[in-house]
Amino acid sequence: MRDRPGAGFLAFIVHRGTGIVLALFILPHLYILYFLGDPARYEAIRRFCSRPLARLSEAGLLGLVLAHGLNGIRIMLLEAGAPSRIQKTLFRAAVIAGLLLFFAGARLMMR
Amino acid sequence: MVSKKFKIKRFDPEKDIPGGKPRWEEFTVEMDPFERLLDGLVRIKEAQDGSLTFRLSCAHGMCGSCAMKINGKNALACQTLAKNTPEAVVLEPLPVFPVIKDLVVDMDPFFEKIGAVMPWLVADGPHPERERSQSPEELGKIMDAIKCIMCGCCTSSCPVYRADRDYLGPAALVKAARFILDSRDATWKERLKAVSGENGFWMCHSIYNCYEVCPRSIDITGYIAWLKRLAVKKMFFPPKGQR
Amino acid sequence: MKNKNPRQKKLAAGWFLGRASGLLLVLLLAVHFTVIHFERGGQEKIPGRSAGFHGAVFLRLSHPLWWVFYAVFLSAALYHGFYGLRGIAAEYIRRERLLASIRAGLLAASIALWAAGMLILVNSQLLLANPPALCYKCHARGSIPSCRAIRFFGFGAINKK
Ligand code: FES
Repeated sequence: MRDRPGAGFLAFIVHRGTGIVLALFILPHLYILYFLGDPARYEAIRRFCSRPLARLSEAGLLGLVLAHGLNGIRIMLLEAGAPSRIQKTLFRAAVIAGLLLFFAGARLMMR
Repeated sequence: MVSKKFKIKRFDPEKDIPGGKPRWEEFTVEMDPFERLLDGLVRIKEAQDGSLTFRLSCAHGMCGSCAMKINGKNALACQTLAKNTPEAVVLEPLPVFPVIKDLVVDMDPFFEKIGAVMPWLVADGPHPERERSQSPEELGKIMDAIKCIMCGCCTSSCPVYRADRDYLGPAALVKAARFILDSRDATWKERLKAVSGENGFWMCHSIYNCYEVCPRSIDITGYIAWLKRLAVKKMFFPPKGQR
Repeated sequence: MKNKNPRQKKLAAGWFLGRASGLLLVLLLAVHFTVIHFERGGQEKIPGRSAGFHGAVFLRLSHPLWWVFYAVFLSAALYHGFYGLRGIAAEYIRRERLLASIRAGLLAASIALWAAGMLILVNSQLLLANPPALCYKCHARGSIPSCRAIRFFGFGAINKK
């Protein structure tokens, strides 16, 4: 029988996964910015990035950032001295805030 | 009386290959709802299978011998009432630690880590005529941490310890915090040094598994966070002089 | 008294910087997403008005505050990301030598990425100082109407005249 994933464990797994993806994302991001010196190519890339599928993955990026960032705030609060007994409450708060911000943000992106 | 089914993960070093396919055995015991799972285990050993092996000593949640994985969560068998468990109880040895036989695991790696944080009082000054007394406030600071019975539930539930056995683990870190906070202790510096290395509390990711499983309800993760804050404080404001 | 265990201090400082950069990134990402991703949506249809638009990027970079913003963003993101990867590597990789080389590789990669990012930023200033046709569409720096978000954050008005 496996460990029952508690809120803290789930948060940890998600935090680690999103963290790795986001850290690796820096590379392609900088690669695109590299073309700022070449307006024509930069605009071509940007036009590609405004296609629906790319837009959708952009919303996914927002999701990654929100998951990682909000749980990061939770961890920092707890490490800064917030009592351990509220860790699950903080997790729930982060999930709710994350969902709200995600849908609000995705709506703005998909306009 | 209720009838309880015990599903026990067994390992016999003379018959089974270590790391091989786990062998599960089922036993049915009649139990009073207010009996503890440990009573059930004792009854199985007495009446059904004398070879069933597990540790027990105090049977009152004070010695930490009977820690095991009960229905997927580390706990003490002598603290878990039959009425608080489902009809079928799944018992496994503590995870991560090497299994010796059935529910008995090798706790040496665990106590090695505890030993590495100087789990003894280093008192200062001349020997007092009577005891080294503490005020109730001073005692209050360590009251939670001294409840630890070193059962190993926390460390063996920690995903970081599972991934890296060099990590000191929650139990050892709480032990260190307990002595750093002790008003009678005179050597916080070496203590902090012992736990703030590569394998110390920086590896803790505040996963709260330890906090969730602790049979004595110690705020383990809170103590580890306190150690992190202490180390950062000492980095910014290094203490003047010797101590 | 001299600090007897610099190793300990280094670990504490590294951890603290990891947390501090994380907190900073929350704020910087909020601004970044507002400017680049959220504001863009409605303006995509009008060419030349999006914040990710080539000209708009340069418009922002022409303001020293935005330039510093991106330099800090780059540094914080790289430190935070690679501090995390380093910790993960230490957790899962048991072989001492392999771990050491992976750590060295991560350090080298982060420095290289930082240098590349700074190069882009410095390059942008060179282009701005010597503007040919900044953008193949509008061909002029001042002609890009700044988007609402840029105005909201108060930067970028510099080139409006
Ligand atoms: S037997 Fe002592 S704690 Fe359970």
